[in-house]
Amino acid sequence: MKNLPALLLAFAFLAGSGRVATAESSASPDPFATPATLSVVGQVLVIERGYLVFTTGDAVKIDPALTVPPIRLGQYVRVLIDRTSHAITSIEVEPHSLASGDIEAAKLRREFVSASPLSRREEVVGGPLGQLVHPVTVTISVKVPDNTPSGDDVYLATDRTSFSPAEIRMTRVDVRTWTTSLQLSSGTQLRYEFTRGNFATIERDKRGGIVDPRPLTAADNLQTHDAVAHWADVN
Amino acid sequence: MSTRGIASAALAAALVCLGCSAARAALPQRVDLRADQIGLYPLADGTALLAADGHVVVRAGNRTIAANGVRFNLKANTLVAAGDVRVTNGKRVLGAAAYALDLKTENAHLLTLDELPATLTVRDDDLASAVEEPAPLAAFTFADVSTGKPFLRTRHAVVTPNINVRLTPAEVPTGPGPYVPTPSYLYTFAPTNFSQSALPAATFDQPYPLFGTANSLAAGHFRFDSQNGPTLGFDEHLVDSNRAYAVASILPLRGKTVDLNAFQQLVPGLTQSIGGFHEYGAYNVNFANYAMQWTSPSSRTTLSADQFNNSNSVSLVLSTLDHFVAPLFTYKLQVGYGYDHLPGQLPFTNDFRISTYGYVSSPNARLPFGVDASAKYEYTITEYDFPHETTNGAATLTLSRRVNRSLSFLGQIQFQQFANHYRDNAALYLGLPNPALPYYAADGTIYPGYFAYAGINTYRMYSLQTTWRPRGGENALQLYLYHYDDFPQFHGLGRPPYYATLDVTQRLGSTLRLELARSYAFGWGGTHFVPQYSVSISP
Repeated sequence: MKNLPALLLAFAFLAGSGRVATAESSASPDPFATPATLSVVGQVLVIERGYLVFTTGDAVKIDPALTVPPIRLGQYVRVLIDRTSHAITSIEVEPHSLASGDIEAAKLRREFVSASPLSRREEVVGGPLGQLVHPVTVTISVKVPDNTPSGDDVYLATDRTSFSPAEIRMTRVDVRTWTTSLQLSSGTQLRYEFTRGNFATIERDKRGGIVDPRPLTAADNLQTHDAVAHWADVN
Repeated sequence: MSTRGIASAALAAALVCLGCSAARAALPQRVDLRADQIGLYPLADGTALLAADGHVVVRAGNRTIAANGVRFNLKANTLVAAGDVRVTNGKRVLGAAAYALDLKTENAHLLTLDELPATLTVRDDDLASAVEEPAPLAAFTFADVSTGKPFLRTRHAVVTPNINVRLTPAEVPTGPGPYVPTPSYLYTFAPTNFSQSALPAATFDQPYPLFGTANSLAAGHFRFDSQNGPTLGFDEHLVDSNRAYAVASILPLRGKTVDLNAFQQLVPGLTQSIGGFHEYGAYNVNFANYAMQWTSPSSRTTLSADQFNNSNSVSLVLSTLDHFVAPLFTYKLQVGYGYDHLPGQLPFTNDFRISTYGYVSSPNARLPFGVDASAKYEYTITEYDFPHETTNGAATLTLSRRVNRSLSFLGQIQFQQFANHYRDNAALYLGLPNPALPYYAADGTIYPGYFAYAGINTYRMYSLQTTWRPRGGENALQLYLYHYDDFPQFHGLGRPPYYATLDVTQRLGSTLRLELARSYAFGWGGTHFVPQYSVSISP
């Protein structure tokens, strides 16, 4: 749970046209124009009975003049909270990105939260910043044993194809090293293993046992360096 | 240990097992979700989420939850319901704006928005024992999936906790992208390793899980391979953690084959495996293999038996592991003893053989101009009890150079000699060609060099692989050039003197990657170009 705020914010930056509803119908929204409002970004749990509740469990009053746009459970919003009335005066659905003045919902100061005295939790301070979800290139390299048959290619099998043994033919870099690159979304979890093109030639561990598929979480410029200990069909 | 001691131990073990069962029993056997729309999202942190929106009704054991939206974390077994939530648990009824439930512990957090927003902790939905207190920060949290595309879509999902979820009906993604409607789909999220397969390799394979438990999975496969074209396959996996598995498969339409693969790790280092296939198309082919292998820290011993149609063989092979003599070289030695029954087309029915194999290879050495070099020599000699001996020696030099992040070269030179010696005129007795007599090549002409042939084939290979991978990315252009200089090397038989392959890998979309290769053989059998295509599709 340590990385929860980062995880939550990772989803906040996905592309999409942010829709904005404001209590002042004629004014164009500019969340940073006035210090009279507080800009908060978070996931919506529920909007009921004049409250917007974030998934942190914190409820904030909604200005009665504000027309609330349709919002799906869990969607990210940027809300402007009036510092005087402590009410939400603007809601932007799926904001493009975080701005420097934005506050994560988890760190919302308690004075803006509506809660009965027994339900008030302590304020959260600090914590990591979020990251963009974006395409990344992951490079997987593997070193094969010396007794690998010299004419054979090495393949990558992933859980994307239920480990089809010839899913991706790797490129030979030197006598023992093979490599391939995959384009994935950052954060994608992948499991993979190595074969020589069919299941009879799958990798085994040093003592001939089954190799658990290797896990990988896609990130910027991630490079993995693996080694095949033994092939199932080679003594 | 006394009989009484054993009985006590057994009783203790039974109690422990009962304890385990009791702990597991807290989870309902099934959780049923219905909604206007349900999406299944595998998430980056390894969990999977069911997102249900619109008139959601969840049934889990005695509990029924109605809400506008529900998010169910399939791996954590937690769910969050929000919007006009109504929970019915026997005679207990709760109303709330939001409700977070841990199915493992039956603990729930309730958010009410009556006069002032309040959070309550309840157990087993008993309001009488509810405690108003701050909810943990993570109680109502879940990943945002509103902007992503679900992996599967449905209106009805039945979850078997910790094992799988069946979606009925379902819209299923295909590897290349579009969703396909289907009456039902089983998504397995059990930690079991179902990666084992018995199906032959294919350039495209889209699995469609049919039935499953924590240890088994039956699946259909939509497949494409260049030999059989589009076809269907089915397989059944039985898995015992990471120690054993059995996989059976069938390709019933094209390339008709039944396959079996089974493997068991008896103790660490000792494994046994059995595998085989039966091709039943235009003609029948049968193959079966059994192997038992013991791997110690320094050696490996394999006892195996094979049957291919009516031929049989048994082998015992003792081998060292790869030994690295730092920093000079790596070596390995291997000796085997075997028996063959009906070995090929030879006019005798049985033979015994002893074979010896070894190799020595150098580590990668850095040469001038950024070139890496490595050399390897391997040699095999097999002696049969019939006066017959084969030897095979191969020397390989590999040079590689990475110019920059995008461009790299790999060159190989390989010399190989395969000798087939028959002593005491055994070759003539077997009806094999006499090297002293002219030999006719495929085009009907006398092959001139055959007079010099003394039973030794020589193979020489020179290859250069050029890879251009812009900025080290996924798209790539690869050119392979080969020159084979063999003896004997007939026109139209053996390896072509020159051979080139161009291979293009291009990502066409977020779920489609295409690899297209075209090969040419030059000056071979009177043909200038022998084009061959190969296509590979992957996510």
